Amino acid sequence: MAHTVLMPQLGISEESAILTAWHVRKGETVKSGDKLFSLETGKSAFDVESEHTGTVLALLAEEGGEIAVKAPVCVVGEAGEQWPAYGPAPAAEAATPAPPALIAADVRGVSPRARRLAEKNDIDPASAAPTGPSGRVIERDVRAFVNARTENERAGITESITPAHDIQTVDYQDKPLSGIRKTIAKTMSASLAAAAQLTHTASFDATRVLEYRGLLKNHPELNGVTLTDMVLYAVTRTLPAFPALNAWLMGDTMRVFSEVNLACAVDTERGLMVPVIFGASKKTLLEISRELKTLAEGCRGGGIDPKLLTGGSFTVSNLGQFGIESFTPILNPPQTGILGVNTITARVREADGEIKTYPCMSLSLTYDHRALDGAPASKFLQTLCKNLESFTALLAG
Amino acid sequence: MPKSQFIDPAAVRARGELKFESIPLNTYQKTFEESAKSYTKDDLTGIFHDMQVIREFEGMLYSVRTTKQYNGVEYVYTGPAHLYSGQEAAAVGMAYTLKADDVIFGSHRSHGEVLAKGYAAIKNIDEHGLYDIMKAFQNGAALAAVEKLNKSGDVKNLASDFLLYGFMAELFGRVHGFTRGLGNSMHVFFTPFGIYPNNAIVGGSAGIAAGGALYKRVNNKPGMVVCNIGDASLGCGPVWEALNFAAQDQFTQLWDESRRGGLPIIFNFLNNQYGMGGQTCGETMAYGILARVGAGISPTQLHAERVDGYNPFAVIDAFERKRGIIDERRGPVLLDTVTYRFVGHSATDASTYRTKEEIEAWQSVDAIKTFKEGLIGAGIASRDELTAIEDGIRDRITEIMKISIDESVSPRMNLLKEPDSIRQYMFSNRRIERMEERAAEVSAPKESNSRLQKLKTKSRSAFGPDGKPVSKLKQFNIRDALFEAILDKFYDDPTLIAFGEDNRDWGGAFGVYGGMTESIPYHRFFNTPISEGTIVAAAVGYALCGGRAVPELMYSDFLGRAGDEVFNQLSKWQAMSAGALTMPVVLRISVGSKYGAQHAQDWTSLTAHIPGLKVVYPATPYDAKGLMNAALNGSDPVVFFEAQKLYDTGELFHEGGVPEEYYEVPIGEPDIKRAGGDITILTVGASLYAGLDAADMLDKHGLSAEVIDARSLVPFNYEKVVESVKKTGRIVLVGDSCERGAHASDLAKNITELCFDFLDGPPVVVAAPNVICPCPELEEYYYPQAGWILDAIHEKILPLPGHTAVMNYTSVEKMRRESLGI
Repeated sequence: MAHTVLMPQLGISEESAILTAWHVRKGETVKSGDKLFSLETGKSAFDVESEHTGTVLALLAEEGGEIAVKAPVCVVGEAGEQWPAYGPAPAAEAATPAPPALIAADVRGVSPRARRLAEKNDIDPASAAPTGPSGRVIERDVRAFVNARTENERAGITESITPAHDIQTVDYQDKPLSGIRKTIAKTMSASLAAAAQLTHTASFDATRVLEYRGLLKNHPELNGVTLTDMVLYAVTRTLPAFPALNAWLMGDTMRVFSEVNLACAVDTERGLMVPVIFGASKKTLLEISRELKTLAEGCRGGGIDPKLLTGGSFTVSNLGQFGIESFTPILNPPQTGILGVNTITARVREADGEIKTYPCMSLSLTYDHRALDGAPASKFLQTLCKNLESFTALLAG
Repeated sequence: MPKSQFIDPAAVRARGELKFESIPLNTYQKTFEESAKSYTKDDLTGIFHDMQVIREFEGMLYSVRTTKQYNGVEYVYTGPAHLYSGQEAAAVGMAYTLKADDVIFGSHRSHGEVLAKGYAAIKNIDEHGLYDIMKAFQNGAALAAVEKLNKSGDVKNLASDFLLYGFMAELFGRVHGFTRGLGNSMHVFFTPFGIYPNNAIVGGSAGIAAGGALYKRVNNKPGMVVCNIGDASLGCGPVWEALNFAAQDQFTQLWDESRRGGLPIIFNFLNNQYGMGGQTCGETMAYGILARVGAGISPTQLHAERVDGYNPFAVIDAFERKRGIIDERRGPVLLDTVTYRFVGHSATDASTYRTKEEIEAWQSVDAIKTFKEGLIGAGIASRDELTAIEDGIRDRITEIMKISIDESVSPRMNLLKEPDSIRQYMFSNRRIERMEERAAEVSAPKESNSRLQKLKTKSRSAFGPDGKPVSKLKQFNIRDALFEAILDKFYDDPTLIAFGEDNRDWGGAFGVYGGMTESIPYHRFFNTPISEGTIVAAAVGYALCGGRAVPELMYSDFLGRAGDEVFNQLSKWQAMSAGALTMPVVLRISVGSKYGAQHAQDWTSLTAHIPGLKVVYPATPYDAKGLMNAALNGSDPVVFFEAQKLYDTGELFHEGGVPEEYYEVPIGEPDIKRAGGDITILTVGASLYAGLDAADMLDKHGLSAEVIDARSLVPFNYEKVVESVKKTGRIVLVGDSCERGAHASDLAKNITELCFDFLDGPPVVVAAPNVICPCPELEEYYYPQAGWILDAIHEKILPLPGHTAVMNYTSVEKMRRESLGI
């Protein structure tokens, strides 16, 4: 019996996935558990294995194509067997609403108002689908076009834009964005468009954390604990006193979490991923350290459970290893806060009439001013810095 | 229809014979010597002087018009030249007896009358008075120009130069002219000397002069009115209207004792035998002898007689005798003053319609020549003396002509540097609560008016205190609002008069004036004959002389009958006087419905087209009262349209209903009757309610319409509309006028210009089609309906999902109709 393999739905909000690679060819025999194809969603990459043994009777999609979830992708059965006739996997593009029936669409003009709006948005009004009388492009058409473009931009699909200079003289290559890139693009621009973001930066004397890190380095089991882990740990212990930063802003309501579900940015080849350490405030430094390692490996290897990529209540992103001294992290909505961890620099200060250097680490907190004001946000940063300066005391908690 | 008068069938049907009195023709037959005995030498040489000035003045104008020079002074004049040459004795005889309070109105051929009446005024007004008049005119600018020329110190001489200068500067279009060059040859006048507008529309002065006489009678002003018009004007209907209007029975039979009697006016037909080239007696007219016409107008036969206009003594004699009749309140009077013009109708007239012999025959009895020879023959003045007068006149005219054409002394308006030079005179824009400060004559205290008392029981809002609609009969409506405002003004401005067809006992055909009769005496509130032209013209004359009038035209369709009076007279005289005159006239016109093609047209657009008229068309009681109050306190002519279909409409919009107390709605300010953000509907007049219904229908399409009631057509402040369109990007203009040339179309044009970059579709006009108004049952296919507004939006601006258009507003259909002229 022929089995139709459908595009799996990995998360409840997934509508489609990109088939990144076929691992079989038509006519090839496969065993149950053999990889059929790899896919990538906005949040994850995944290999789909065959649940049956048999011959690959048909491949219904092409590599790189975006396929709607639950759409047929390939058929596995016995050689020569018939299978239901499928058309090409339906494209996942949003259906363009058909313009209303028009009277004699022989004139194609643009209303002055539509033209103004188009100019303001730097688009060619003629690209908007006209719905005005006699095929006139009216305001609502440009508005619809602009909205669609914004959506597309958020999704990372940019219309080919003709650059101002002569394209013949420039060598370039158009590459479609990966699913993750699209997701990042969409999330980032949506974040900046929606939230009232601002960033405060504060620094602390990193002498203690470095001392402690030095101490652990020589320990056979604890030597994997990084400075990032220590910052994460300090965050999990500081955040509960600042509920507005351990929360989601959802329209008119705030969802305040009783646990710290700490998201941590992980750099992968495909792009930024943000796995979550659930219940982090109850976990020890070592547990946090080990869990982050596992999650990062999952992300980099592509096999991470998508469920671990959502649900964070606060995010930490560390660019310190790149020597970044200060940056403005972008919120991961609907979260209300994200902490950027910067590199350690040597600073001087006066103590007992002497100028001395000390290792200084700075932290950049971006928060959503819609959710909380500058004072509590600053207080959080201040407390966090104090906690890190007396890190060993914090460990007792 | 006064009940006091009984129309007895026995009397009306009784056999009998209508007898006419004989009409005297040229009864004055005294010789020169006999006549001269009644005059001093100064009087006689004065008559000669005045006639000779007219002759020389017209000779000057003819010369510059045809030979581009006069007496060696070069000048190119291209304007009109309807000359008085040959008719001088008629003008000087007419003016000779006139006093300072007497006023004259004239025609396109009135140069002689202006000079004659001017000299009469100079003779009658004392030196202080004269100097004050000259000083007050243009803040003394014209006086300064002649004072440089005339160093004699003699105010009368100075005034003579002033008269010639103001006149000539006017002819040549200079700012020192009597009306700053805006009147020109055919419209010269100067009211301080009793010279009222000369009218270039043949017969145009007849109704206006009747209004002037009405002003004198109603307001007990001294003096009489002389209406100088030509024989051919009797071919014009409005002249007959005016003769009848001035001779109405009610003046002698119904008006209060204090005002009873015929109007103080002499219709002086200067019968020069021709209307342009049309020979009146023998060709184009039927009267044979013009004086006959008096017999057709009234039992007094208008005291008509023919007067020899070639003998100044005969004319003086006639005016002296007729003044007696006027003083006895037995006017009006009709004179057939025969005369003859030596030159053509105008400078380009080759006189192809008359023989050389005819002209020569009249020249042989030339009044000036005859008079001069008479003076010499009677030994009153020597030839040398008279020649000296002639030379002196030529010198004065030459001197004054020189300064009149000297750009440094007598500039023209600079319309580039001062582009508002003419615009500033289109409206006087003054607030004048009372045209005169004295008690208003009324029949009873205002509070006792039964209608006013009844209004106190009415709901001032369409909704009761519980928010529920009040029954129509109990609502204070537009009819009541207008009544309240006008009644108020009757008690405030003593000069206010209101008149029109069926105004008094009937209360106006649509009941606006119901109950007014009990409070206001006849002479301030009366019925008129069905003479739309003279209804308006009389109001114009009344206002020109200093009163305030509220004439009424029963239907907007009747505007055509008052076309000249509304379009050329009411609208023009403020500007043509360069601000010297005000025109406080509120012309009430109702817009009909249910009465078909000749009684149901909205002609607001026609009046809005004419510069110089303010035009309003309220659609709610609040706006009706407020705009009427504003109109009645202004100084400009306001054409006040009222929709018959809205007279019983209560107040739906104004919080708290229509205030009982006084308030004004500024003329020119549109009003947002309903706020919205998606589409603007600008309505003119009664179509407001279709606009509001359309807004309700648009709600169902998820579109919120902003409905703006224009309220005024002219002037119009576009700010609110522009603001609205910038917001909505879409506008429909609605009005009940036929679409072609509709005011809504004009609004649409201006909005297109003002809001072009903000428009999401063309401003679309929803108006009545370019067809006749059908029977009442089919009116819903004639007047714009709410559904049409949606159709227009759907087809021209913004397709409405699910809407099926009933009316065809497509471009293809528009092209088809336009190509057929429908």
